[in-house]
Amino acid sequence: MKCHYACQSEEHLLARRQFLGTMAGAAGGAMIGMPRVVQAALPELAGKRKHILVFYLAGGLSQLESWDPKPGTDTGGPFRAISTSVPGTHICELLPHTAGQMHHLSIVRSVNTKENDHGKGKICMTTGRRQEPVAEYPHLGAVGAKMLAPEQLPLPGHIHISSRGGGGPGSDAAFLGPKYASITLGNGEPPQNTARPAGLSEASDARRNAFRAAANARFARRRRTADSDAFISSFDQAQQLMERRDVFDVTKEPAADLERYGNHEFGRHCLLARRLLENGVSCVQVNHSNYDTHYENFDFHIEQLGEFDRPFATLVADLVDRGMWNDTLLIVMAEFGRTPKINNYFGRDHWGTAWSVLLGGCGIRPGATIGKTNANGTEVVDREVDHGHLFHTYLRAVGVDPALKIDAGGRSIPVADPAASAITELLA
Amino acid sequence: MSETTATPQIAPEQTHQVAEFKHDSPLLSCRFDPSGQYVFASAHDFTIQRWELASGKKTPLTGHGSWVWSLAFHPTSGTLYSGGYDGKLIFWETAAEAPAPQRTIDAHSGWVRAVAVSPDGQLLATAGNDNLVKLWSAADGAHVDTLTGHAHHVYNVAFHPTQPIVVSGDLKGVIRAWDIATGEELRQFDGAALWKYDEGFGADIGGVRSMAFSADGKHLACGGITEVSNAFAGIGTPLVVVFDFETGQKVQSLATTKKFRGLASDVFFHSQGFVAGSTTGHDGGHVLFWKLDKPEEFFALKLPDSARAMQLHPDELRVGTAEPGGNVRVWQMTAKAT
Amino acid sequence: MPAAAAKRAAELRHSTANWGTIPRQSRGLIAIVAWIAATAAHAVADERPLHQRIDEFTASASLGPAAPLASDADFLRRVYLDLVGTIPDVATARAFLADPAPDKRAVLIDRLLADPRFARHIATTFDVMLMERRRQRALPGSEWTISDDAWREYLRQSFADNKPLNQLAREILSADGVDPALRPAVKFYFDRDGDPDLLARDIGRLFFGRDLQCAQCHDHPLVADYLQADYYGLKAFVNRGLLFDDAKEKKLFYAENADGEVTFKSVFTGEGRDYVLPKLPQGPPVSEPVLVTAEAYVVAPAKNVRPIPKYSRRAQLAALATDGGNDAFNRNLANRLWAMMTGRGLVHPLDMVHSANPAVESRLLALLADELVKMKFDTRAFLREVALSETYQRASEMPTPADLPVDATTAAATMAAWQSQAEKLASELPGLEAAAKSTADAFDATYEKFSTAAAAREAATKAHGETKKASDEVSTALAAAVKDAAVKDDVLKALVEARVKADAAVAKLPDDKPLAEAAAQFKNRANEVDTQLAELRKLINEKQPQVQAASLKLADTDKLLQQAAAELTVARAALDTAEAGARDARLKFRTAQGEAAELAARITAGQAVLDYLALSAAAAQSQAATHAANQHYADVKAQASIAIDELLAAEDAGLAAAEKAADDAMAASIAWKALADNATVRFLLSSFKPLSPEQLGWATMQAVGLVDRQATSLAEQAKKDVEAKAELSPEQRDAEQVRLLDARLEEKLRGNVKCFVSLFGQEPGQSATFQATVHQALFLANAGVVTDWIKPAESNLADRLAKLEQPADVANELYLGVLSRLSTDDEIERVTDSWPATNEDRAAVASEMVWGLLTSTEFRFNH
Repeated sequence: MKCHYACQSEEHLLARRQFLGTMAGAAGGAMIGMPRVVQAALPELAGKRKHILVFYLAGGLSQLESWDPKPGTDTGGPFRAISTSVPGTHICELLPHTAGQMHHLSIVRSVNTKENDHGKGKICMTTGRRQEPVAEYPHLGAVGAKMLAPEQLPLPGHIHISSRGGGGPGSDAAFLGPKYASITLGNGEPPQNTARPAGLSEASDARRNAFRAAANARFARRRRTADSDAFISSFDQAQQLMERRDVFDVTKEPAADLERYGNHEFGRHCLLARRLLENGVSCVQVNHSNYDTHYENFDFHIEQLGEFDRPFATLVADLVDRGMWNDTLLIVMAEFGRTPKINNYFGRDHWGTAWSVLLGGCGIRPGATIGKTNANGTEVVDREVDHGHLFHTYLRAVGVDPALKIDAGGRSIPVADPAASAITELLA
Repeated sequence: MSETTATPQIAPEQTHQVAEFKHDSPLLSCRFDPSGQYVFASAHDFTIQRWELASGKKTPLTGHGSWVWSLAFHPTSGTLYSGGYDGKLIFWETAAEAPAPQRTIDAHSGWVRAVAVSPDGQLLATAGNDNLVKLWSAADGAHVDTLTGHAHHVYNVAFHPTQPIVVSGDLKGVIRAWDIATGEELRQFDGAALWKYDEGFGADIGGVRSMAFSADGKHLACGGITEVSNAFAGIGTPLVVVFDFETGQKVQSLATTKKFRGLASDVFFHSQGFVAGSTTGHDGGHVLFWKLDKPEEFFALKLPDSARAMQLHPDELRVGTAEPGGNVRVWQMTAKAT
Repeated sequence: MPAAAAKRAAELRHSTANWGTIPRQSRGLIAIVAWIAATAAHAVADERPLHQRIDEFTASASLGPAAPLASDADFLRRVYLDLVGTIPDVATARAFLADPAPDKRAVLIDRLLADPRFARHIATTFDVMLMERRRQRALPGSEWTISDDAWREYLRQSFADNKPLNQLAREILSADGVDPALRPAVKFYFDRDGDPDLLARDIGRLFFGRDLQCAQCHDHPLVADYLQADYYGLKAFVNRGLLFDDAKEKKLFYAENADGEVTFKSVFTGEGRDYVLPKLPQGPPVSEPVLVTAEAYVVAPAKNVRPIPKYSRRAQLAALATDGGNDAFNRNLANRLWAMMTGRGLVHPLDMVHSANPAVESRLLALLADELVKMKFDTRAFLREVALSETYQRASEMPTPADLPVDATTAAATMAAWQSQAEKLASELPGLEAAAKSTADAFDATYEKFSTAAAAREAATKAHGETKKASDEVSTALAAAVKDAAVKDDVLKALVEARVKADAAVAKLPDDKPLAEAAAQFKNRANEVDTQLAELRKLINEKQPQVQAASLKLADTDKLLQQAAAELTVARAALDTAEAGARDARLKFRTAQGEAAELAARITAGQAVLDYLALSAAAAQSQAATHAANQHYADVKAQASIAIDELLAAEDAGLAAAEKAADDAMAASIAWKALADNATVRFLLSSFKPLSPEQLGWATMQAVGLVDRQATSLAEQAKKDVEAKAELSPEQRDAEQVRLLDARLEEKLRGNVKCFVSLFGQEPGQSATFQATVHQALFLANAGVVTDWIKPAESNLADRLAKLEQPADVANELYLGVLSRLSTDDEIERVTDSWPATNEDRAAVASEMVWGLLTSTEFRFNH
């Protein structure tokens, strides 16, 4: 049912009308398709707004060359482990800058998703559920955009930053609908259609919008529904988004920062992520490609992590310095890890059996190490978890109840797999 | 064994295995000492293994904190120099009963990818992931010079057999010849064919994986991988580019007729006028034999396993190969002794 | 309704009315209401046109308020969008609005049903309904599968031919991709990868209106009607299907095996079934021929061979669902066609048919389903009746409270009637529930017997198979031995003859050594063969009894098998009876429950009306009180000598009264909105329907003048091509020319529609729900494709406007073009104010106005 609008009534009631209108809307549970539970759970009602920042290391980062090194074993490879800002916690020597930030971060070393396929692994890790033909589930970023973003935020709530791609909204929101689908900024390009068309003057644009507003006002006197209101407000959002287009322009950041992040693509992408978060975008995913190192794993990890380490560590430090850390959940994930066994070509292959995910920030206990793999990393020996546990943990960390049910065209679907549960000892 | 027979006819087509030595960890490099008594191979377990060819006696050399990629010998003093991914350069006594590090030098920050000894035995050259080439006193390891200019990991280094020149090659196939005395760069050779930036994966693949001079110093051979279609699966074919050292021009690109997948892990010139290169990769190990006048090999010896490294024995009859399976095999390029 | 208002309403209700006792004067009314209900219940016999009976039902099920008929303009736009998926062109709109004929709406409906765009629009609607914008199955060489275009053309042609809907459904459900004419229908299975669970769910949803997904792992936790057995009963129909890549034909097929049973266990209770028989929701288990595996196939499965079973469960599904006898199927179709027109199902959501979510008016749904069957599932005939109904043609805005046609007394009486009905039902429920329970237990018991029998038969079949094998072995061995013996016997005869002759010869020539040797040879050889023969005979003698034993054993196992089969058939019969009993009792119970829920909803809605009446009365009262208080205050103030305390008191009283008046007015106006919502749900008020992506695309292109421009440029060629077809009669030619033009127009503009679909469509596999996204707005505001259309060019709308002098003409052309209505005075005024005096400025302003209306709520929604 639609929310109650006490319109058409006396002008002097306007203010209270709207007040009551919203209350009624909340009670009716149909504010632009948003179920009551969600309405109630909106963090904006409970203090500061939360953000989710995902680093997706496409292809599958090697846990042995990063968060769970096994130097000097048959699977360890040539790299050494280095100590970090957390006494007793060691990570791979390829991440010296990150090592200095580990007291803000936590490692889950006991991930077993039992999934070695790129596509399926990605679905597991980004939706918290295994792929089923019967149902598709929304990407973490889409869930975040719905739960964490204010209804009227002009900026997209769910942005991916990649080397390539870009354009229209992606298809990863499932039953949450296109409103929450990711927008990909292909190599830092702003979203499409965000610039006023050439040949349309500002004045002309203003006039046509005034004409639109007048038409809407007249029609509203006949009838208003939540849908018609949502349609109108989408244009207001569009206008605000266009006004704030430079949010997507990383060159607006100080040159000194560009320098600190390293003036290369990934550095710029990390700085852009900071800029987006600072401007209120709820969910940002930075993709770094690629780690699918079936061949010469070690040379490639030197190159990729050599690019990753400094900008990543700089971003963590900046989020802390700028007081955003406690409101930003950071996750470093991939579709899976890589085999402990080194193949004949110095490569490591797909491996979902025993690998690591890095978390930090909002709601996460800093400096923790959860779970353990055995001496040469071939199996989990303590506190085995999978994508489901992680997904619950992400939601709990940003204050969303994983048991929350979302209304999808009449069916109500739990936002996280009810069979799983959060890694509570990791929650702050 | 072949040593006893008088000057046997070299016949690559007849190459056959004459010895096999086993280790329980995948092997990396493979070198014979100048006397030809021993074969040395390094392994994933951070050790260097020494086998006495005659007896097969195996002796470990432990001291490195990571993989050892490069081994080189002093022509006369009986010293072995090893360069490791721990950034260290270690001196050993080749023939000692139980060799122990005699001298350990922090040579590079990051991996040491190559070590070479000058023909006169005066100098050592090392190359590493800090993009540097360094010269050292072979006698006491004193730092002599640092050659800067490479913008990427330096994969290989070699001394010219007759001139005071050292040559180095990097990831992107940039090959530089340096004047040892002045440290000046003399000329460059274009080995770009040995490198590719894979857009799909956003990563570089290639590098000068092998390097050798002909005995007269006329020719420089640089080997690696080319025609890469998929970096992360290592789909490419082996290539050895041979340059005229004086002109810097390419005289031949030694490829494979079958275009099998892999890279040229080691290369040598044989005094009888052919070039041999070892391969490792998806299509297994081979030793390819070329004449400089043709790009295709005249013979390809299929090996039971990839050859991560290969070297010609001082007797010029035998060849050693080291395999990921943990074996060192010694091959003889003559007809089987009946 | 907010708590405050609800509380207030409750108080008033208490003071003003006590529904327990019914005023004497309304007794008669109850009788009338009851009579209406009765006649409606027997409406099947009613010969009046369906649309009239529809209106009767929607009226009798509510206290109101009902919106009046929509204006001609609103109706015009609505019926165009609903029947042909776009808006009318300016000329048509102008003509229709000017047409004084009283039957012009009916005439228009018939014209649109005959329009070629009707078939495509309905096809599109069914495409989106059935495929839910799933991505085409990506295969190595996607030509192996069915392209979106082929599928859509199949649907379009089906509706163009007015193929009965049940036939269409039958073609889709039984599709295997073999018959070239029907091959596109198999896309329904292809793009779901033939996954039995996905198919069970979607067939349940789309063909029976039941989303059984949550009953996959256990009886549905929230919906009592949805049982795990229903889910698996449906799955059993498709469980034997498999996607078959035919490398020779380079084609994909949806084949079927003859075996593959479905079993399940509840993750809650652990209970389950080892033998699930295929059954439709609420239907009986399908009785199947009991075939031995060997005889089960027309073409047996093998490597690279597409199996064809003798008995196809899928064919059964198609037949049983679509023969007109399946209530769930019929109601689902009726409900979906209804929703296509009105924007809501009588049961809503469309795939949530169950007793706790009853139809707004189940008698109406039943009527629609029956009529649909009577019409032989004729889509056009059915939609025509809906379109003709006042219910469909109602306005989408609320009448003012003044128009509320509710008289408290009548309302009270009706409510009372409903309530007594409700109480009656409530009293019957426990009995029905008990019956359902006991029959269900009885069924479980018989199932146990059945499953034992089924297991026994399985064992017997196995045993029989083994014995048969063994007996075959021995008898073949025996046969071989006998054959061998016969041969040897022959040889022996020959040898003996030869020996006799030889001996004779030797007798005659005693000294002939070689001859003697030869004779000896014959002798020896004869002896050899003789001994061999002896051995063979021995063997035969051994084998014969074995063979007999085997055949006896075979006979026994055969008997056992027959017995087991017989017992199974008996058990099955018992099961069917028990099942029928249980189903019947269950259905009675659930139906009663549904009726109760439906009645409750009706009563709640009615109560809202009464609440409003009370609230508005109270509001009027407190308004009056305010006036009085203010008057008093004025009087006090006017006194010669003002007593300050008195004045302050009067002021406070005045403020308090005003505050109360405001609250009451507020409560009343909220209650009024609640009525509007109820009215929408109960089809007394037309709902806002967002345009589908396809409607939005076509309507936009129609509005800006792009469609007309393309049509003119294509018309000439179409005319030529048709004239070339001498065989056609003049009428046929006209029709053919229209069809041809429409087809080419669609082909030409298809690409643009895709833009809209990609931005405004739901995610693949999701059901369509309205969402306004910032990206849609950005697209409409800035995308080149749209901004180009609204630039004046080649007599498009903006161009036509720019050429006009009189602002009034501009306004009318503009509003007719975009919103299919004439402009109002205030709109003409606005246009006049902003219409430039000089030509050169008009182009820009024209574009602005066109855009302003294209992006208005009035355009975005179907109202």
